[in-house]
Amino acid sequence: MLFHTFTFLPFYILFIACYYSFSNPKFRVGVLLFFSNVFYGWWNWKLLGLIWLTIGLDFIISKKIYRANTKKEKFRFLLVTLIVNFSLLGFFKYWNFFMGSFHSIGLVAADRFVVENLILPVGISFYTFQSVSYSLDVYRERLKPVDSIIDYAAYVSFFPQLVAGPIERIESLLPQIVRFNKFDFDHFISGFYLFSQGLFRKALGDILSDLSDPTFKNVSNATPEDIILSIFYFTFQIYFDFSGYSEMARGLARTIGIELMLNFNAPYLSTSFQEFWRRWHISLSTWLRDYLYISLGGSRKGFVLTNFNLMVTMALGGLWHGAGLNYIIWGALHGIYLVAQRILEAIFESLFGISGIFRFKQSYRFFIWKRLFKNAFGWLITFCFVSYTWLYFRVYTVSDIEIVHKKLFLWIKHPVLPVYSFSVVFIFIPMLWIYDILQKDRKDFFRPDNTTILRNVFFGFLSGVFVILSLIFLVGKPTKQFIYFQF
Amino acid sequence: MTMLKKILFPFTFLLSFLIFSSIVTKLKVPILEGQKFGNIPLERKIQKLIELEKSDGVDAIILGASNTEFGVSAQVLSETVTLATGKKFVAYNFGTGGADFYLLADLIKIVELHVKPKYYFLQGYHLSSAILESLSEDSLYKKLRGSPVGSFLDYKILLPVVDKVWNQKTLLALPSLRSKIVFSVYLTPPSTNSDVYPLNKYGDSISYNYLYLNQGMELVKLAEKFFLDKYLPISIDSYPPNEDAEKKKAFFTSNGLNVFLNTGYRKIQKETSFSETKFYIISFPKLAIESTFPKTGQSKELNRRFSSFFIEISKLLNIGYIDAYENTNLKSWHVQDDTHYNTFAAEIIGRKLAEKFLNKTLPNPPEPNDDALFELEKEKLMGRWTSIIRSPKDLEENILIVKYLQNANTHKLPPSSEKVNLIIRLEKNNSQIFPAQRIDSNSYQVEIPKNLLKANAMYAADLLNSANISLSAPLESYSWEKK
Repeated sequence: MLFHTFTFLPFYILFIACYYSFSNPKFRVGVLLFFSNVFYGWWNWKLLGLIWLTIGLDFIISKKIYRANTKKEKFRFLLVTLIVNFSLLGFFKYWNFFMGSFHSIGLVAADRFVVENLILPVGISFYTFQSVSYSLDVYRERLKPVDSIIDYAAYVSFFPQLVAGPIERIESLLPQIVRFNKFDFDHFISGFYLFSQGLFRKALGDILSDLSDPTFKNVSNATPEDIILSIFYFTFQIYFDFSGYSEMARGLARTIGIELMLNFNAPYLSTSFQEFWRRWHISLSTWLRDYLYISLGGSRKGFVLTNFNLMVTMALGGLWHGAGLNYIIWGALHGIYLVAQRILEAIFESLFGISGIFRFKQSYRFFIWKRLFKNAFGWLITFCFVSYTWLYFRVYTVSDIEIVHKKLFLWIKHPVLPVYSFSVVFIFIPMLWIYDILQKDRKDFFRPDNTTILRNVFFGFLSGVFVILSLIFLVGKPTKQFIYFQF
Repeated sequence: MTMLKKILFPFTFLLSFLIFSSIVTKLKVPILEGQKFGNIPLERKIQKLIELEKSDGVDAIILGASNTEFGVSAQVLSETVTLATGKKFVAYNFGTGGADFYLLADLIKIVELHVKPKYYFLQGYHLSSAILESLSEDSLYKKLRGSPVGSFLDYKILLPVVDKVWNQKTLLALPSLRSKIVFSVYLTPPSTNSDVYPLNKYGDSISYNYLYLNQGMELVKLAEKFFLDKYLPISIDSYPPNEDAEKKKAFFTSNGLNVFLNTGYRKIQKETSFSETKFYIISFPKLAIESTFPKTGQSKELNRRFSSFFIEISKLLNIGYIDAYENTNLKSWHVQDDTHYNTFAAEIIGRKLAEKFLNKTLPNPPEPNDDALFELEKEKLMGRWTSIIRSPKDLEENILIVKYLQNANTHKLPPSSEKVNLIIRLEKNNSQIFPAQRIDSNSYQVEIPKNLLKANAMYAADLLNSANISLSAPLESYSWEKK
């Protein structure tokens, strides 16, 4: 079930009606769990067994980890949950990819192990990470195990963010789920506004996909300028699509008084790659930082190892997105950008030194450098490189990548601006960009704690405009899944 | 104050919709009725109907889905009845792709804006789950039905929902608005299959394509196997045998049948504003390809049960029934793809319909020697995925570059790596074979070779822009003038 389909509407209405008809918080958790299971089972009810396996395993193992007397024993239990969870993830998501890869490098027998018609369970990467983080936190003694499996299951399968995040931490989400959330109109309308804004983002993403798909489906026939334009279309498509989902998820959760973390904070306004990763898919990048990068040693083991850890984290982050060489390349490229940035910064530092920078800072030239070079040039470099790297999300075959690069080089040699008639849809991109500029590093515009008459008038109307535009963009054409659902 | 604050959000939210609705009304946004079933709007067909009403006056309307549009010749029906009775009789074929039983009432509303027919010949829809599953993938009904909850719901719940939700004018205007916003133009009103196939003045879609049935063809064997092993037994089980009175009673009084009748034929009867109008249900096989397979005891039994079913429901509805398929002896070259007959067949069925409508036996015209032509073309075929596109008789100066190879593929698409061959044949000229590449592995769309003509290249480019359009949706076509 997708948030932007008609089928979701009755589901949600029914959920809200049932949720608020109980005054006992325990029953409400039960209702939430039931609806979350229906929501997930909608795709394929058989896969519910898999998510329950993860839930049951982490629930039991975490208790065992907590009760274990020695560090060694705790680690053994942790190993069990890591092996089982990542084996499941690995099997469903990566098995055929690796067998195919082995086959292509000469291990002919690997082909025999390819499992035909293997279903990729929706959101498996998201809920696995969410559940594993709980066991890791218990192991690190940051958390005590949860008492009730119902509560824990409601946390792992919380339907607004189950299939595409934000990947929530238990200490943030579970207390909100189990507490008694009284129906609050301000929460409801604020959540509704967030949802409508997310819906509009998704709808705009779909339109951009309509514009770029013909090019990517047939790259050999596309002109170099078509390729350039389509890369930028896709850059915005993936952002609107995923941030749209996250905003819808946050909005839905807020309607029942639950706050989810912000997953996107104006990422395309970043002036460096580091900043980009602080703003893009925040819940995943913080997860990777906390549970992978830091576990590898983080930045505590010297310059070379830090950069190595960064590369490994990014490449694995790429692999997390999907079973394909393109995703690994995508992650590795981002790793290279981050490392390159660190190296350049280190060179800069060694050239000027701390005091040098200090002196530089005082000068007028520094002001120009910072404003122009760091902000404008930094932004341009970051945006262009990030956009280019999205290519590996959209073009899957080596031959197509090759064609695209040939055409890109051709365009660099002889740049021609694409000739396209003006479309009103282009207005919405800068509009959302301005929205991002205004929203950057700030709290939501329309929050439960800041509703006023004027705000309600404005945001009520704006919600209507968002919903109407979404209907115009979505109704009467095939429904497109969220891009991140496949991950 | 708090109350006012609370009310203002939903109030302004709804206000935005009100403003939007009035803008849509003011803009006079073209509304494409066909969008509701994710299929073919009827603008061009309506235009032809108006023209025929003005020039000749329309006595009868043939109504149904694409198998009616292709499979019953309104022209032959009109000419045969006129010739036999000496009185001018004009029928119009208002069949359109994707028009399932619950949409016929909507089509009648459109018809009656322009004409007052004395007769309606309604396609006989088979009551089986398959019929409901054959709707366009994009239709709201299909989406609801395909969902896990929807599959537990009866269509008596789902159909009214579709009807209520989808009939809103503002909603129907959304696709046009989208094209205006994205491409700065209103969606060009596409018409029926006649975008691809020519449409005669009686509304018949003219198609002289036929499914090539080489005996060695793997796909046809597959199709036959599917037909014999799955389709036949399942379909037979969907219909009660005549003799089993208890089963029959249970079946015909079931809720399912009532919903089927209420949302389909009874609704049609209600929608008709002219009390004098007479209705007939006409039937022919659901799958045209059936005619190409040897008749077995089971297939004969299925057709007998179909007829029996339609006789029963026509009695229940108190309307006429005509089996327009009986003893028609249709062959391979009467079938253009697995579902649809072609114009060769339509003419035969049209004549049969005329005979049964008049209740008299009429002399049959001599049959064309299609066997010889069939043999001739067989030699020129290149591979498994071959479609023959024949120039229509009445348009000899032109040849149509047809968009899809549905008629070459019965139940399976060619793998993406495989080439598809088009044989483009001019009547009275030699056939030419052009290798063509499928645009992607998910559709039947074929890129026309660019070395053909500029028009063809344009066609391919247009296809690329509309790559998301499903097979059932109409696509532009271009005609190639013989030099």
